[in-house]
Amino acid sequence: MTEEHSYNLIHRNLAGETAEAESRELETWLNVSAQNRSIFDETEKLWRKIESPQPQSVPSFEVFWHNLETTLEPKTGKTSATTIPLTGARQKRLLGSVYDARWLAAAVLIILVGVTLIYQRVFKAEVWQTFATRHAERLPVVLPDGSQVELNAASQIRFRVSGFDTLRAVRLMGQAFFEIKPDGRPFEIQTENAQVRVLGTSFDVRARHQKTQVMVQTGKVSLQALGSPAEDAVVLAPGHMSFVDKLALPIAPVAIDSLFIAAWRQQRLVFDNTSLAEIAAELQRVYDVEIKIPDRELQALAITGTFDRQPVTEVLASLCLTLHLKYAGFNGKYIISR
Amino acid sequence: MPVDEKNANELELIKAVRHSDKTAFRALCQIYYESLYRFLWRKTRDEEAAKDLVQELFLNIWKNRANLDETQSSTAYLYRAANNLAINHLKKKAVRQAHAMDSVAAGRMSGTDEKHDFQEYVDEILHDLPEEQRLVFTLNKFEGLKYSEIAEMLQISVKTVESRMSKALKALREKLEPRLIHDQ
Repeated sequence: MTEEHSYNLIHRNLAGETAEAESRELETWLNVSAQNRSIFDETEKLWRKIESPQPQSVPSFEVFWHNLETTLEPKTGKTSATTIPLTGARQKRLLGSVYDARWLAAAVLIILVGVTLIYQRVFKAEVWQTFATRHAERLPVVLPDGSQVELNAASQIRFRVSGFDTLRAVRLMGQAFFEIKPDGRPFEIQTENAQVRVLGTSFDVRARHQKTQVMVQTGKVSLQALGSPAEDAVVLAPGHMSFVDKLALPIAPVAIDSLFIAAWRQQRLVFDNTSLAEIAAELQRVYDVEIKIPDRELQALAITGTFDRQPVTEVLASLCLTLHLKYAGFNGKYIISR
Repeated sequence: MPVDEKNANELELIKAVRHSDKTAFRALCQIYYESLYRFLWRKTRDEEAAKDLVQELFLNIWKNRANLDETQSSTAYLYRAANNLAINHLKKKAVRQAHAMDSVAAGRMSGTDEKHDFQEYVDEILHDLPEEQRLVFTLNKFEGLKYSEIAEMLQISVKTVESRMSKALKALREKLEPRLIHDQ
């Protein structure tokens, strides 16, 4: 057996591709010499040692399917601007005279305007407005009903302008503080995995990584998991918090210190038994920096603390001091290690 | 045979999906969702991108459901579609390979861990391989695709798959063997 052939056989075996006859051939070859056996062992050791890179987590299938399902609906036929073909004779006549050409142009204009108006009236529902922030950016937004929203970093809010007629509805990705004008109409916020409903109130919504958390400052807020019945919604009073993790039901209201509610608006960071990994993620968004924590064990360390309007280096220094770690780096790129 | 059972089941599902059966489609998605998400993540090393692409992938499958062919391997079909989406995404990002050392999440810094060193080194070696060898190797080793599925996906012969695997493993062997001797 040539060396190439024997290696090929070994590879096929390791990849699970060998049929019975081949396995026997391999066995025979292995029994020939200790050298053959050691070649196989080394190759097998190498094969086993190589690990497949894995993501930290896989988003749940339920959430994926829920989002996919809504896009599966067959779209209703859209009217597109169709040109009315002129028959040969009429065409010649119209183009023959300057007066007729002007009339044609005017007619086309009226048709186009008409189609646009129809399009807007029928498809106004399709017009979305989007506001988004990058890292280290915050943005105040005023909604068509006069309600105020402040977007935190790396967040996005979308709404249909026409959607503000009977029901006020927006979609949120990331974090925002809402001050909703009570005007008799319900106000609804939809996130990746939950729905928040209010009448008139101020509260913070944080929707990241398939977890939606709501903290209420004033008024009453209802939180329910997407796709769950209204009876399973949780109603939150001021000074209370709840969250929906993936498609689980919202947890029972938890009383919280008002210090926590949208602390980010005062440029304050508040962590309550938060993992270092999550803190690093938040710092990256708020300060627009890069923070790496190579050691998996360190990522899971939890910290409670508040940071007031401090430069990121001070926050890092403080965290490291508390946890007996050190950080290195400069100019926006940092690494935390033992 | 369990394998045949699975295949028979899938054949039925695909036929049903062709007839616009949404529950069948959901079942099909459920079978492949996680593997394809992981595959797209390994290609892009970007959680958000993988989420978007896996959504786009299955939406396209649904849109093209009339063309589903149960005589074809679903694995080959799905991975081919996923691979194309990933390639397009990477082209748009003007990144030749989503493989820069610093994109391999926070878990890989040289010097911290010998184990991490090794996997990093493997990454490097794979990175230096010709694309066709790297693709075949990763599809087999990381995604678990059989040679026949890889062959169908890439429209090449099984012999070609074998040969590219061998070349990839040879390169890994030659560069890693000295390191292996040190480890136990």
